[in-house]
Amino acid sequence: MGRIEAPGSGVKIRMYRQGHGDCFLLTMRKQDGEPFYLLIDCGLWTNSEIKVAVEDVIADIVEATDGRLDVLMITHEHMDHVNMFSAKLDGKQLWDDIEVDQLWLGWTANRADAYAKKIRTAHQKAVNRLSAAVNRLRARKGLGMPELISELDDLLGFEGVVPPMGFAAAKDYKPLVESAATMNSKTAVAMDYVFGKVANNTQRTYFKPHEKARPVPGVPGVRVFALGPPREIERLDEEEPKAALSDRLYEKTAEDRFALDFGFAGALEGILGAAGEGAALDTDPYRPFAREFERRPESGTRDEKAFFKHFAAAGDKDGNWRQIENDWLFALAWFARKINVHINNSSLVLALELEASGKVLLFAGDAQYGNWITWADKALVRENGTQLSVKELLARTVFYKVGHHGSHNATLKGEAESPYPNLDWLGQGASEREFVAVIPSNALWAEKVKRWPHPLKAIRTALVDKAKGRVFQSNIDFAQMQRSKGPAAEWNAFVARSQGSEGQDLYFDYWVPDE
Amino acid sequence: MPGSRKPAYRKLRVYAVDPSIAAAHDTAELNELILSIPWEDNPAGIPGLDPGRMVGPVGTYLEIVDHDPASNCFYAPVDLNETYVLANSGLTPSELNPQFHQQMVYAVAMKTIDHFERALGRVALWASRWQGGEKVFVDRLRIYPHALREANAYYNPAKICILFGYFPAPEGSVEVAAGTTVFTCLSHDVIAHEVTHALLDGLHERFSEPTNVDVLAFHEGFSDIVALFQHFANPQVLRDQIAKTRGDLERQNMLGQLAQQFGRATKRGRALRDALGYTDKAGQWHRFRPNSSYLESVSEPHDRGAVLVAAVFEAFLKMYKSRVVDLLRIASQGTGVLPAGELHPDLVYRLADEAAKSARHILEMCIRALDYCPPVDVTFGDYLRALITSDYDLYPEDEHNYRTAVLQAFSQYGVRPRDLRNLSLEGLLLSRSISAEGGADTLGKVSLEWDNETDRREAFGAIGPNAELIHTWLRSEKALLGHLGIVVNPKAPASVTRSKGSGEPAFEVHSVRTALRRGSKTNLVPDLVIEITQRRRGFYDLEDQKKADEGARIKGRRKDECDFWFRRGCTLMVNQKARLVRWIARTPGDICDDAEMAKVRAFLLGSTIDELDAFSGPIAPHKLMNQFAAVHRH
Repeated sequence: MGRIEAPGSGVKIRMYRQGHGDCFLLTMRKQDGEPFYLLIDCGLWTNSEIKVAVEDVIADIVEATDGRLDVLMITHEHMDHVNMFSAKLDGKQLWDDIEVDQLWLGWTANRADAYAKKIRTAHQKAVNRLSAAVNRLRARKGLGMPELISELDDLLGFEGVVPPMGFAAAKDYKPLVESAATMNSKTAVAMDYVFGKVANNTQRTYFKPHEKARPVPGVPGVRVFALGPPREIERLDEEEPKAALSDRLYEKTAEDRFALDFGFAGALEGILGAAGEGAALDTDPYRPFAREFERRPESGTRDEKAFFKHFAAAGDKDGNWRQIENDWLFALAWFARKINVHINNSSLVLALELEASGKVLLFAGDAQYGNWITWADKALVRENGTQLSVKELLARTVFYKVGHHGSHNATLKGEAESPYPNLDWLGQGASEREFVAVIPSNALWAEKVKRWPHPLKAIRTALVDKAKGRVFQSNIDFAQMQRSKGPAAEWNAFVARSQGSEGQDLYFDYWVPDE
Repeated sequence: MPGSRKPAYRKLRVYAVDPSIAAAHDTAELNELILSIPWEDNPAGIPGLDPGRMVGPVGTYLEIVDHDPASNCFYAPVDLNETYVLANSGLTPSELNPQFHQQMVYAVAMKTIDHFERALGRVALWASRWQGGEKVFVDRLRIYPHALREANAYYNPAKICILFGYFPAPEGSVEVAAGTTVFTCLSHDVIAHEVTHALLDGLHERFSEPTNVDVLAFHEGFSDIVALFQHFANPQVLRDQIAKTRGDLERQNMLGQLAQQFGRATKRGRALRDALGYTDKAGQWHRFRPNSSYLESVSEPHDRGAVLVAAVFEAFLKMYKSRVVDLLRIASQGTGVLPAGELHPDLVYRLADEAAKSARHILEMCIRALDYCPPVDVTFGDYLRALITSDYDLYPEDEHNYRTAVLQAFSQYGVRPRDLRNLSLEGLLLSRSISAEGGADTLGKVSLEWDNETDRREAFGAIGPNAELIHTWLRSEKALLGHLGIVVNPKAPASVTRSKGSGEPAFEVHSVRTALRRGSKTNLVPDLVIEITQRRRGFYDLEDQKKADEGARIKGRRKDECDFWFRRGCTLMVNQKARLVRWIARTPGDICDDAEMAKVRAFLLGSTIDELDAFSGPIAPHKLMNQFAAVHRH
């Protein structure tokens, strides 16, 4: 505890161990000798706490920084990255004690970017309607329903929608209003709070990938490159007729691998409209045929009744296993996953380059495949105009914030020769001797409560292998970390750089010197 | 009705392509088709059905059940034996009448089944159902024409049924007015595609386990091939296009444009767009030159499947061209230059007939090859070998150079078997000819009556006992097993599934069926097709794998739990009388081969099919319940 000494060179990183979620405090030394503080994300899954409470984490940030952050960076708008911003204790908003000078965000968070705004609108509308549908589906029974509801609850949980929601049926179809109150979403509440805190637009920086590197304000010898979120959506924009970019965007068929749109051709309205148990049949505009053709198993002619008696669910003893009354709803889970991936892929991915040593720190947010795969699409440009390739930059990575709690498609597998960015691109040559990976995960909670392999064992193994044991994971104490294969001198140097981590339940401290 | 007076075929009207083609002015001629399908009535013994009628339709292969749960209703079933329906070759094509939808789904699906049975020379079976640890016979594929409200249709292997969706045409849609309801069950193409998935699953249940980049792509590509050539087998649908291209050989590529048009209702349309050709700004259609390196760059099942379609399509064009070159010479009086103006209708008819014949030929060729594929982990290269070998069995002399056409087309698209030294027809034949003399006793006992007249339930019932006989025979043939890559050495890794009695690595005889081959006097002779597989527990984590291989418990895992199943196997073609294993199609390596297992592991961990699932980890093939639903959703 206590204020963090700004290091003489390089970056000190404090990784909080609050639970299943991200929160990192980076300290550097400014030109004038004063400390520079950068906080990346602040959130966790509800009830995923490890040893400390949320208020302890915020209290430590206040104490460490004297209540003032130079930069607050938010990778993406998922609960486990932002919900601590709106944490309250005894009616007091805890983050009120912290001042923020500047906000760093991905272009997708820019309220003034027309395209980003369209995506946001479509996203919020989709989440709204999906959660309304889920509420109405709770009463529905039958094959697959409990699993479907629990999956949808989890996925909506990421968007900050906490079941059961307070939606009244009449509100379900209300057009979207972009405000936390109608979203009923904790994520939106948190984001509203942060935006309110840094009200002046000049204090906000929205990063686009592959644009010219930016300096860290006031700190000499450190620059940041943005690698994501992918801007490919712009290309899609140019190819599409403008009409397709209306508020019905989420119904468009996915045209590319980046999945930065929502939904599938035309059908969502039809599903959501009818998803309620006993939806008002007369008003369902998606009924495909005239009434004269419709039958209930118990109605119709004598022959029809006999037919249905055998082939409809109730009478069909042998055929029950192939009834499909709920299958049409399973598309909702697919749709919810798509929303989730979209937000993960909207992650701001930043690489910090330390000028003197060339060392790189990579913060990947929760970027999944669609984000990773675009990192190397273009070369990078430093402020002075010199160019370098992404591969070259990533080869010097000595610190990797693992994507999405170490899930399987958020750290790409490959080889150093592979044409796409992957784990083997990181920490090449001399950098490998210092390579460290950090996994923000409460693996025990994830496994036990959610049955999520976070991190995936194979990915953790690959990371431990590559880093020779130098892998921080939120729920594993520093004392439990072990050297794996590498030389003792390397390990001892690592332990020395991790000073202060021993015995800490609240955080790990790690120093990347620029030398 | 006296059986003798029952007609052999039932004529049923369907949309030739789909309702939007019928509604477009320039393609109005392609409005409807009349399909002839084998006559059948409601089977006896089903409560609620009367064998004198054809309600549902429910026949021996299919049961159409029109449940629309999203609309909370059923639609009244059609009776195809009703007088007015019979008198008119079925109901008139209509989007507004669900009973016509039932009729069309039934008719097109039956046609696909018919093509399969003709090509394979035996009745087709659906996948069986696991019930109480046993495989149970499933009579009929169930079809739900209006089950979903999305632009999707899929085969569900767990329920052995096909679900079709309907959806409002999205805004900005050109072919169909926005908001109009589009029914996937009215697309000839979608129906044939989905039924092919079901038939393929009935033949090769492991072809839906993605263990390499080709497996799902094969399922998709093959289903597209059947859908496409089932279409092309109708000369009516080709005449118009052939008249337009005026028989110009260089412009016969235009048939590719037609193929794309047919496919545009499905995701295939888009995939084919990337593989076959494109329309330029002036509206002219161009075909892509085959690119042998394209295959390396695509991994999405539809995109990759489209390459397979493109290769087969290329072979089809080569065949067609060689069949019509004489006709064009005659028509141009030897000059090769056709007179100006429209082609003579007779010539158009003859050309269309040749194209349809070529289509039927290649369709049969493609279906027959299924029997010659390894039972698991199939690749496009395996399929190429199967195509060449199966055709060799039926036509020992390649009089029309069809096999050369296939070989050349596939190599133009970069498809080649993984272990091949020399890309030649001879080199592509499967490895062959091992004596099975030791099996004299047991092989003789295998009794296999399985042709197009056999009762399907009986054919299914015979599989078990025959497999047992074959198993007994093979167990005693250690040398042959070695040759097949089947491991019975007790020292094999503990993760390999053992047989309960002996504790030796178990092998399973999956399937015993018949395949026709042309005998020395041009008569057709049935051979035995035998599929054998082995399996081993696979783990993503190498430490876990090591423990499992050594027989140690893995912490936190149940005894039989694993991340994925690693399978190896082979397919044998056996001449029962001559006691000869004629062909062997096997997977590379064997069940102990760690390098092959590593390939499967690497594929599963690196696969991007399941990007949407960041929570449950990579989806192991045997855990993927409904891969078809996911692959088809877009």
